[in-house]
Amino acid sequence: MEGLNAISIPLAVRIELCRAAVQTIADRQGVRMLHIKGAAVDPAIRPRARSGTDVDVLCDPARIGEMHRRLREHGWRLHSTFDDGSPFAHAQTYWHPDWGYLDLHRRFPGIGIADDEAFALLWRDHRPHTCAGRSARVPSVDAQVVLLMLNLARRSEDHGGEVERVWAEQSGDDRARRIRLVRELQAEVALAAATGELERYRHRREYALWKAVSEGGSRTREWWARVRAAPTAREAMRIVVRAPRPNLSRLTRELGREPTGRDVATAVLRRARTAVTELFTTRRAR
Amino acid sequence: MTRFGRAPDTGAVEGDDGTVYAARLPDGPILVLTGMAARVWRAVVDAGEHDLESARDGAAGADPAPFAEALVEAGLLTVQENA
Repeated sequence: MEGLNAISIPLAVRIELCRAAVQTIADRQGVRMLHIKGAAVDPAIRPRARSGTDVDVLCDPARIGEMHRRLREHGWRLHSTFDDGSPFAHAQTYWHPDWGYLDLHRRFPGIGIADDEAFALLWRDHRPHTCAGRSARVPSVDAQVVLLMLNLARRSEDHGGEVERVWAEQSGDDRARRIRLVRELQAEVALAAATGELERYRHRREYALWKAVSEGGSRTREWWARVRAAPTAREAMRIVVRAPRPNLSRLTRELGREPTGRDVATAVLRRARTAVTELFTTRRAR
Repeated sequence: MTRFGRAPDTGAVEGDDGTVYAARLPDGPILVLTGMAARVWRAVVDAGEHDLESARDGAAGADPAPFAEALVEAGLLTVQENA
């Protein structure tokens, strides 16, 4: 029938509808959620809106488990877990045949305080946002600037001058408020990685991790930095114990099927070989 | 006369060319509304005109009713009342 078709959808449209779909699930459960990154960023911060390639939301960490179950019920498939994603274990990625990719965040990399306290701070001055006609919420403009800076810290050589435009050109009042928020969030080290002042924080346990993340480097260097950055001995031990375990989500995608015990054992050996090779390469380079 | 309204839990984005991308939320799928289907959507949702008269404008006598019924069937519009 003319006029009503299920054909190609522009990516920006798909992403906006994806935001609305995820918001609907959260609203039905009464889950507090903030839309971050991409088109959710205020135009005052980023005049040219970028839809990105996926949707990012920061969910009330106390309700993450429930949100995960509801997403699965509505056809979302788990693409990668908190544990096999980034070194910050901050988000799980889901995929839906109609909506595409979603990053469900329980925390934001660079923030040092507890996840629930951080969410409460970011939720405190939230603002309304509309996606595909549905009401949603985004952090305050100040919080958005801070999150953008923390995000830029993870690719400090590839920010296309955004640090200068967003951070260096802000007014004195804006900067003072935002630095206050950075302190409340205990995100000074990550911010310094974005602004090129990381060396001021050499004494902090997070220093090596942000050095590795912002400058790039081997997985082994990053892993060792994660161990050093762990806030407790228990967390450090957890990272050490998990290190040999392969990324099962990625392994499943590579194989196109559920990995067998033999597949997992092979992947463990491959990771060990890579780690040893990287260690020797690093030593030779010194 | 049949009157229409936007169904609850629907999302829609209008493209620069007037194409409307609409979906039932949260499960989809995304439907692409062009031509008279897009006119009907705009008349009911954007203009708040619950009958379909404005959708006829410039449509050279085309009947919007079958398109409205298709949108009801797709779960994007609801029938509000019969007057």
